[in-house]
Amino acid sequence: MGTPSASLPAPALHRRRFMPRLKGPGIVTGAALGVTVVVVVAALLAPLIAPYPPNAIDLGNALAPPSSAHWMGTDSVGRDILSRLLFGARLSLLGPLIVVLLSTAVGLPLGLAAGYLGGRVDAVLSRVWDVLLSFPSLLLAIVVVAAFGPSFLTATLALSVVYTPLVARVVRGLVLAERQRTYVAACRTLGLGEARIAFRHVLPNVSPAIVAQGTLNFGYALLDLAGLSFIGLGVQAPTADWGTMLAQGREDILLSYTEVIFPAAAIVLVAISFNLLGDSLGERLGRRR
Amino acid sequence: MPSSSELLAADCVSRTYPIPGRRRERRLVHAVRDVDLAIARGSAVGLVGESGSGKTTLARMLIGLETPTAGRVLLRGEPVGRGWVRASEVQMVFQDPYTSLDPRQSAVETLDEVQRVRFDRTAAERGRRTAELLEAVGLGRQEAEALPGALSGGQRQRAAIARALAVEPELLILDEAVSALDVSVQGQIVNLLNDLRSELSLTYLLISHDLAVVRQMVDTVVVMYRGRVVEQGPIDAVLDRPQHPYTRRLRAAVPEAGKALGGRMAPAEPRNEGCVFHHRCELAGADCDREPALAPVGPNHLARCWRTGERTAPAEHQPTRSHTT
Repeated sequence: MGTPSASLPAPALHRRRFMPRLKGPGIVTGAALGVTVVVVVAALLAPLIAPYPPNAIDLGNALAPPSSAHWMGTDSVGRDILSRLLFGARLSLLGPLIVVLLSTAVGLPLGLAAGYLGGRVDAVLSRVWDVLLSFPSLLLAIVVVAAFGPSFLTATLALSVVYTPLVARVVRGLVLAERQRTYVAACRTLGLGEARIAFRHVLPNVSPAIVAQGTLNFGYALLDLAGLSFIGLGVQAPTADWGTMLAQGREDILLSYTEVIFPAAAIVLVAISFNLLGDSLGERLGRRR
Repeated sequence: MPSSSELLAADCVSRTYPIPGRRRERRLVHAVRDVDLAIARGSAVGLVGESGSGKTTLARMLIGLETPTAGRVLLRGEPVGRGWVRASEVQMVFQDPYTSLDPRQSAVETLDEVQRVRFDRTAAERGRRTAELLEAVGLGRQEAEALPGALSGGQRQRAAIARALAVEPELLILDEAVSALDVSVQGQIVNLLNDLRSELSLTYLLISHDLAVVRQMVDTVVVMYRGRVVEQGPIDAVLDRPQHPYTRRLRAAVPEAGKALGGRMAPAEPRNEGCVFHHRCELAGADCDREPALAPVGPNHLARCWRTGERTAPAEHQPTRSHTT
C-alpha cells in the first residue's frame, strides 16, 4: 500500500524538468498579443460597442472631462472621444494592413528575384532600392502625397511605396542565405527547374521570417500613417482616425487633455505590441534550425 | 582516350578559385588540377584524400554543380554541355543529411515531386513507385511522411538516397555519405548502399576520408592530394601495397582515431612545378622539384612519385608534431 504512493512524485519531477522547453509565449509577448486581439476586435465591432455615432456633434457638451456618459470625455464640438477612438481604430489599423500587404506583394518578388538570380539582376535592383532607402522615409511619403493630394488612400499608397524597398531588401538577404544551403543544390541535380526551386523550395523556407518582418513593418506603418494624418496629409477631418484626432486635440490641449492622451496611448500601445510580436516571431522562427 | 565502357569521365579537368584579397595581387588557387578520371559502368570507384584535396570539387564538376575552368566532363564519351546538372542521370548523396533535405518537405512529397518533374506518370504510378523506393531504402511510411526535422541522421540519409534513386540514375556519387553518421548507423547505410548497387546494377563514386568504409564498398580507388591524383589502382593493391608516400601516410593514420597525418598541408598556392607532396614527404629529394608523371607501378596501379621503388616503414617516420587538418 505504501509503495505505490511513494513512487508518485517521480512523474512530477520529470514534468518539471521538461516544462520550460514547452513554455508558451512569455508575459510580454502574451500581453502584446492580448492588446492586439482586443484592439482588432474593438475595431471590427465598433458600430456595435461604441456608445455614440463617431460624428454626432453636441455643442452644448463640448470639451467635457471624462464622465459616466462620456468615458473619455468629448472634443471641441462635443463628439464622444471613446466612440471616435473605436471607429478611428478601423482606419488606423486598415492603413498599415494595406501598406504591409502592398509592400510585400511588390517587394517580395523583387527581393526573391535579386537574391535568387543574383548577378546583374541583383546589382540593378539593389541599386534602385539603395537610392529609395537613402531618402528619409516619411519625407518621401510626404512628397508622394503632395504630388497626388492628401487622402487616406494616397497616404497609404505613398507609405506602400516607401516600405517596398525595405521588404525587398530583407527578402533578398534571406533568399541569399537560403540559396547557399545544400538542399538547393540537391534540387538542381534532381532536375527541378529554377522557378520551381525558387517558389516551391526557397520561398516556403524563408516565408516565416517574412511574416515576422511584416508584423514589425505593421507597427512602423501605423506610426508613419498616424504621423501623416497628424500633419494633415492622411485621413481628412471629420473622419475619425487616431492621427487626425491627435491633431485636433492638440489645438485644445490647454483646455482638455483627453483628445490627445487617448489616441496617443492607443498608437503607442499598438505600435509597441506589433514590434514585440514581430520580434518574438522572428526569434521563434530563427530558433527552428 | 575515353572508351564506351566508361560511363562518366573527367578529361584533364581543373577548377581554380580566386583567392580573395587585394586586387593588385589577386591569385588563383587550384582546387583541382588536370585530373583524369574514368568511371567504368558497374564499377565502384573510391576517391580519397584529406580535407581540401579537391575530392568534393571534382565530384561537383562531374555532376554539373560546378563548371570546370579547364577540361571536359564526358558522359559515355560525349562531352556534357550546359544544363548538364538538370539533365543528369548522375545523382549525388550529400555529406550532411541535416542540410541536404528541404526542411519543409517530407520524403513522400519529395519523391512525388521528383517523379512529376522527371517522368510522365499518373498519380497512382507515382504513389506505387514512391512506396517501392521507400521500401528499397528501408524507410517506414510514418518517417516518410514526417518533415526531416523529426528524423534521425540515418533516416534522413535513407530519405536522401531514395530521392537520388527516384531519378533512376546510373551513377550515384556518394559524397562522404556516411561520414556524418554514428558508427552503427554508418554500417547499416554501407550495407544498404552495397545491396542497392547489386540490385539496381548501379555505378558508384564514393568520396571518403575513411579508408575502412572505402574498402567495404569500392573496387578501384583514386587518391588525391591538393587537387592532384597521386595514386590510383585496385583497392587491395593501393591499400595493401601503397606506392606513394602520401597514400602510405593516409593508411597509417587511419586505424587510431585522433591520430593525424604528419606534417602540415602546404599553403594552398598555385605551384606549377614540383611534386605536390614534397613539403611533407619523408623521401623528398632534389629531383622532387619536378613533378613526376602518373606511372604504372603494378597491374592497373599508377602512382605519381619518383621513388616508388623505395619503401620506408611508416613507423620510422612518425611525425614529431601532429597537426589536425
